[in-house]
Amino acid sequence: MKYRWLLFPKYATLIISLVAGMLVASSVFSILFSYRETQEHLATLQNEKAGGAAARIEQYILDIERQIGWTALPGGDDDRDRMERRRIEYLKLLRQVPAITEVAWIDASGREQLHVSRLTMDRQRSGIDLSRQEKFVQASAGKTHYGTVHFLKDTEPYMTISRPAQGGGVTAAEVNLKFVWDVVSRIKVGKAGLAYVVDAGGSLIAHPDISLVLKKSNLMTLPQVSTMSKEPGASIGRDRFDQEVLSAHAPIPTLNWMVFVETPRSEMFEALYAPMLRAALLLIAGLVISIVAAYLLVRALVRPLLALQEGAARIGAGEFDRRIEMNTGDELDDLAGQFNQMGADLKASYAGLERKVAERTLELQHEQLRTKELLHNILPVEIAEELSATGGARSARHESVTILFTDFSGFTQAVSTMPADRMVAELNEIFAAFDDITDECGVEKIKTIGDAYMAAAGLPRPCADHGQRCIRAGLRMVAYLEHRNRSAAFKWSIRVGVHSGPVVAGVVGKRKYAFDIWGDTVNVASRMESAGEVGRVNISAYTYDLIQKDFECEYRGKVSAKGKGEIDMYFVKEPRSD
Amino acid sequence: MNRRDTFLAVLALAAVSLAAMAQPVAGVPRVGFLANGSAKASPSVDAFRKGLRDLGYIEGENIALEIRWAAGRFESMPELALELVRWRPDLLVAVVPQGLRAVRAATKSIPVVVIACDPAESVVENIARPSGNITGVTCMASDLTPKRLQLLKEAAPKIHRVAVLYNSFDPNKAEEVRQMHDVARTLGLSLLPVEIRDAGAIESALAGAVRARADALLVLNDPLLYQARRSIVELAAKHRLPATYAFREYVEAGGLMSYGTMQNDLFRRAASHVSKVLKGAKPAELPVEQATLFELVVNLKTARAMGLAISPTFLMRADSVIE
Repeated sequence: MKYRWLLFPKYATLIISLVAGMLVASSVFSILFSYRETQEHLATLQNEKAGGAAARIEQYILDIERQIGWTALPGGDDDRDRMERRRIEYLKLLRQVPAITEVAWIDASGREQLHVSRLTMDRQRSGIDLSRQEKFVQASAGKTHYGTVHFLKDTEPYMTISRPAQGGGVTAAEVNLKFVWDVVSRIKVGKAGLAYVVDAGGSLIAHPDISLVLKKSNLMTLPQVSTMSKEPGASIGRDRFDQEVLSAHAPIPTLNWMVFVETPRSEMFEALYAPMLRAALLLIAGLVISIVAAYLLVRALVRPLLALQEGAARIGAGEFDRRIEMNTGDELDDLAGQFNQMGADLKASYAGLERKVAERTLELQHEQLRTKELLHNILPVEIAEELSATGGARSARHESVTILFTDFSGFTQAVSTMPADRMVAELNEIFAAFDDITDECGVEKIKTIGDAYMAAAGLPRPCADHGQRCIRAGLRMVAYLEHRNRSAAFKWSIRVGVHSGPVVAGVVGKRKYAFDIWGDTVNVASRMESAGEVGRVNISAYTYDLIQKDFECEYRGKVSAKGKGEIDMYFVKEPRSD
Repeated sequence: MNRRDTFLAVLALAAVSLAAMAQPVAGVPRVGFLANGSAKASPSVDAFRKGLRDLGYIEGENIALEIRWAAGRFESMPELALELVRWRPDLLVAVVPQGLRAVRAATKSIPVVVIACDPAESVVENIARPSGNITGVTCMASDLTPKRLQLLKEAAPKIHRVAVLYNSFDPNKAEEVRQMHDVARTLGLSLLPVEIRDAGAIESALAGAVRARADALLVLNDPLLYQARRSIVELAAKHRLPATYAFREYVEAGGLMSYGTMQNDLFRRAASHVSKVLKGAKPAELPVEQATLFELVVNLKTARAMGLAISPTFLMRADSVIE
C-alpha cells in the first residue's frame, strides 16, 4: 500500500488546509463581526435604555410639574374661603400625585400660608419666612424651580419643585424621587449592566446601590462622566473599580441630569463564547469531513490507477489481449481506453512484424538452400558444408583415392567442323549425363578441362570401394556414349583412364573457388586416359589391385606413358559375375 | 464517527464543568423567618414570599425558607429565634420589636432584615447607615401619629378628649405619648393616655377612659393591640368612640379610619432587602428603608353607625372607603 503515503497525505494536507483555512477565516470573520455587532447591539440597546430612562424620568418630573401647575385658581373674595379652596386643590394634588409628599403655598411676600402633608400635620398661616429660599426666589420670578436632591431622614431622596401659583405666590412641592430609583434600578443590561443618574456636577443622584448615593459619591473622576456630552451616545468608559465598561448616556435637559447605562466590557467577550464554541465544533467537523473526503477521493483515484498500473504492466509483459476494465466514465476511463487501444495496436504491429520476420526467414532459408545447392554443385558435400560452416576448407591429403579421366578422341577435328554453339550443347548434354553417372556411382566430379572430365572417388570422405566406384562410372560413361551414338547425329568416342593413389585435396582461390586435387596420382590418371583406347577403360596396376576381384580385366602389358616411363596397364572388361 | 462522539462528549463535559465553575457550587441560601402570625393565614408573609418570587427566588429551589410562627405569643419568640439560629441560616427576618429583640439576643453575626414599625432608631443606630448586622424596612407608624390625630379631628370635628391606647411594653411609647400632648393642644384637643400591658386589660381600660369623658380613641400601633384589633374596634363602637388606627386591617375589622403604611407592601419590599443581603451586600451598608406609600382608609358604615357625618373634603382625601 505504498500509494497511500504518496497520494493520501498530499490530498489530505491539501483538503484539510483548504477546509481548515476557510473555516478558520470564516470563524475569525464571523467572531470579529459578531463582536462588533454585539458591541453595536449593546451600545444601541444601552442608548435606548438610557434614552428611555431619561425620557421617563423627565416625563415623570414634567408631569408632576404640570400637575402642580394645574392647581386651579381659587375663586371667591373671602380670604378664608380662598384658603380652603386652595387646601382642597392641594389635597387633590396629593391624591393625584403619590410622589408629592408635601405641598405648600407661599404668598407673594415669601411667607408660607398653607402647608399640606402626608407625613406631618397640615399648617395654615404659619407665616414662616421663605422669601430667601431658592424655591421661592426662582418661582416668583416666573420660572419653574427644580431643587437639588436631598434626603429625608437620610434615606428618602427628595426634590423640591416650585412654580408660580395661580392667584399669586408660589406653589412648592416636595417630590419623592424614589420613582427615579425604580426606573434606574429596573434597568438591567446583560448580567452586570446597570444604570445610574448624575447631576450636572457629577454627583450621584440615583444608583442601584443606594449606599453610594447616600455617601454622596461624585463620579466626575470617571472619563465618561467628566466628558458630560450633551448628546446621547455610547463610549468606552470605566466604572468606579476602574474596569472597562461600555457606557451609554442620555441627558435629561430639563433637570440638567444625565442617565448612564453601563455594561462591563468583559460581558461582550462572553457573548463571543458561543460563536467561538460553534466555530471550534465546525472546525473539528470540517477536519473530520476533510480527512474522510481525502481518504475517499484518494481511494477513488488510486483504485483505477492501480488497475491501470496492473493493466499497463501486463501489456508491457506482452499480454496484449489484456483489457483494462474501468467504467468510471471520466478521464481515467479515457486513459484506460487509450491503454487498451495501445495494447491492441501493439498486438497488431507485433503480429505484422512476426509475419515479416517469418517471410524473411523463409526467404533467407531459400537463399541459403540455393547457395548450398550452388556450393554443392561446385564442391563436394563435405567441403561445401565445411566451407559454409567455417568460411574455409582445409586441404587434406588422402592416401587412397581413385581418379577417373575421360577425353573425347578426335575432338579437335570435331571442333573445327561443328558450330561452336552446337559444340557446347553437345558437350553439355554429355557432361550432364556424366554428372548424373558420377552422382549415382558415388564418385565426386572434380572438374572439366576443355573436353576432358575429371572425377575422383574416396574423397573428401574416404571409402573402401573408391576403385570400384570409378570403374563402374567409367564403364557406364562408355556405355552411355555407345548408346547415344546409336541415335545421335554426331558420334562421340571417349577414352577413360583410371588410377589410384594418394592426392592432396583442397579448395583454392578467393572467388570462383574450386575443389581440386593435386599430386602425381592425378598425372598418372591423366596418362592412363591418354594411353588408353577409344571406348575402353584403361587402368593402372594400382587400381587393378583394388578392383580385380570385382572386375575382369585384360592385361595390356607395360605401356609407355608420357613422362612416366613404362607402366603396367589393364583394360577393364566387365564386372565379374558371381 | 465514534471518535467524534467521544470528542463531543469531552467537549460537553468541559463546557459543563466550566459552567459549574462560573457559579458557586454552594447550597441554596437559607433564610430563617421569625413570624408573628400563624401558619394558617398570614397575608404579610404571603406578600414577602411573593416579593421573593418576583425577584426570581423559588422556595425549595434556589432559596430555603424556614418560618417559625409565634402566633401572637411574644414570649415564645426568644426560643423560636434560637431554634432558627441553630438551623444555621444565612439570613434572619424578624418582625415587630419583640421579634427583633429575640433575634438580637440570639445572634450578633447573622444578618438580620427587620420589618418593624416603631421607631427604627431604637433598634438601629442610624437608619441611613445601620451599623452591625441589622437592616430592614420601617413603616413610620409613630411618625404619623400626629397626622392621624389631625385626620381624626378633621373627620370628627366635635371631639375634645382623645383616649390614647398604647402598650407600655415598648419603652418608647411613653415618650411618644408625652410629645403628642403638644400636638393635641395645637388641634384644640386633650389626651387621655390609656396604658395596658396585656390584651385582657383593654376592655376595662377603655371603659375607664370613657368614664373619664374621652370622646375619641387614638390607638398607637403595637403588635399586641394589632392582634386584639377586633375587640378594640368592638369596644370603640360600643362606646361610640370615633377612633383612628395605624393599619387598614383595623378598619376592615370595623374601625372608623386608619392612616399608615400598607403592610403587605412593606413585607414585599423587605424581600428586596433580603435579596440584596444574599447577594453579598452588608446590612450595615443598606439603609433602612422607610415607607413612602400611605393610605387613608375610612369605614363609612362605622361612621354612619355612630352618627358621624364625614365631610366630602375628607372623603376626597381617603384612598380607600369601606361602605
